[in-house]
Amino acid sequence: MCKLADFWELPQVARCLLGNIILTLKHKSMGSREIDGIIQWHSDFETGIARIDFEHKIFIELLNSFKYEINLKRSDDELFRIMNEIEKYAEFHFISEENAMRRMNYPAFKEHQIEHFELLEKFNLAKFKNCNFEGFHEFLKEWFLRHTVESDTKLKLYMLENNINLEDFFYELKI
Amino acid sequence: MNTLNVIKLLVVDDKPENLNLISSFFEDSNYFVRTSSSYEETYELCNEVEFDLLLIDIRMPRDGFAFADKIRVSDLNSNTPVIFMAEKTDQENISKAFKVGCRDVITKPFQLEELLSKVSTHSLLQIQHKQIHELMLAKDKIFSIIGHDLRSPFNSLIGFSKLLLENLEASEDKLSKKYAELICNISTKNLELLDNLLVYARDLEKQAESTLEKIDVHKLISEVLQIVQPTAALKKIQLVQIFGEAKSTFGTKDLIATMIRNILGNAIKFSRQQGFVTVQTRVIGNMIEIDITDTGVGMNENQLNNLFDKEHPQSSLGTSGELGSGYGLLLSKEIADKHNGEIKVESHVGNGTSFKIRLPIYEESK
Repeated sequence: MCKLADFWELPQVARCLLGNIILTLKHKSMGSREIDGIIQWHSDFETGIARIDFEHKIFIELLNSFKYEINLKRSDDELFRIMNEIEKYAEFHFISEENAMRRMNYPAFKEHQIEHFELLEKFNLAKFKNCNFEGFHEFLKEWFLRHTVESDTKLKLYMLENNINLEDFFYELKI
Repeated sequence: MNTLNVIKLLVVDDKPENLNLISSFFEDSNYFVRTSSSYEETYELCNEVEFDLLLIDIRMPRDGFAFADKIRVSDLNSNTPVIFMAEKTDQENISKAFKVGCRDVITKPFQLEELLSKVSTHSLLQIQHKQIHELMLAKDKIFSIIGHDLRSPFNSLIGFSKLLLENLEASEDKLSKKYAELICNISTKNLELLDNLLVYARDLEKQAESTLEKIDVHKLISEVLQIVQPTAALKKIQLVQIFGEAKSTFGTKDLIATMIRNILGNAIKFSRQQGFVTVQTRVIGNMIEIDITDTGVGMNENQLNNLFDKEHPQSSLGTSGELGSGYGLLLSKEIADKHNGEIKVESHVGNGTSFKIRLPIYEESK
């Protein structure tokens, strides 16, 4: 019978491989976040703020429709217009998040805002790189997944730790 | 495009990828681009090259604004325009950038056309600004030379011809006296022309701002009459000053004197031998009117309408063949306008002309 202690006696390569298999199994069991480039909503995205989650859902819709139109081989002009829509929405969404964070006196606000600035810089660089639309979509998808899961969800943690009742701070989404 | 006008651009950003991206857009030969990712490097470059435009990323490690201020203290780049680059959501920094007085802001993500257009517009503006400044300096230098070096010969001519006249006082040689008078007259007229041209061409703003003071109108008119007396005497024209209510106006004494002298000069020029020129003052509302009337040749409607035509300065020959530059009246009008006054003209062919200069009365508050 394997004991947990035995795990640590395996060589590092084996440990990595095993670790990855376990994670993948975990995700498969909880439902994966994306299939063929199309993002599915996942509990990993939840921030605990209905308004922010709602905006994230719309962002996912935009990214998914971008992928959909790419697959349908739409014209370059059409795809540039969708890129512009995504760009504008991202700007709006970042301000939404920053407003919510300010209202809650979120201590890590400045760092989070800087992350948003960095994201916009990366967006700008990717825009002018000579990759195709598929490449750009891939970049956007990773951008969203990483930032949402790693940074935005920290808000949930902060609210739990400090017993924050959102209704005290602002009008919560009711639709 | 003038190939000598290469646009010198400095791009400052702490991220090399951004520097590479922006430089790549300006690779044609019209641009000379330097990049810098640190403050030290930027200071060095600013002390070596006079740039036409600085593109600075707002979010550098240290305060981008204080940094831009420091560049302004440098010798070569104190007047170089700055365009800040900021993220679109960075409202705070964007507002601050405009308040601090940067030339423009480019927000990221940007449209390529926006970047190219803003950079070329602002750098060309800067180049033109420098060219204008140089032209102004050259112009001032020329006028300074004209003002000093060209005036003195005329002063000498006037002086010596007056001496000649004095010497010929007791002489019977009427021809020589006449010639001496002519020399004096022509020299005086030309000196006047020179002065008019200089005043007109030099920046009126600069002139008017120098000394603003309360001016006794009657006293000034008397002074100007004394100056033009010799010219009037040559044609045996009588100058009559009729005093109305004593009033003052406010402004630049030299300019108002020039204006009155110009109009008086015209009155004399277009009067026939042994004519009259009257200078009368009267109060009309809150203005003082200086009425300069002659009994000379007068003007027809066409001449009246084109009197103050800026594009085509008119000059007619006087009744004794006197020449003019055409600028005297234009200058006079500008001076009147500058003093919130106006000039009205009435004239009839064969009967004479009335120039009425109106200036605001200056009342000292008690």
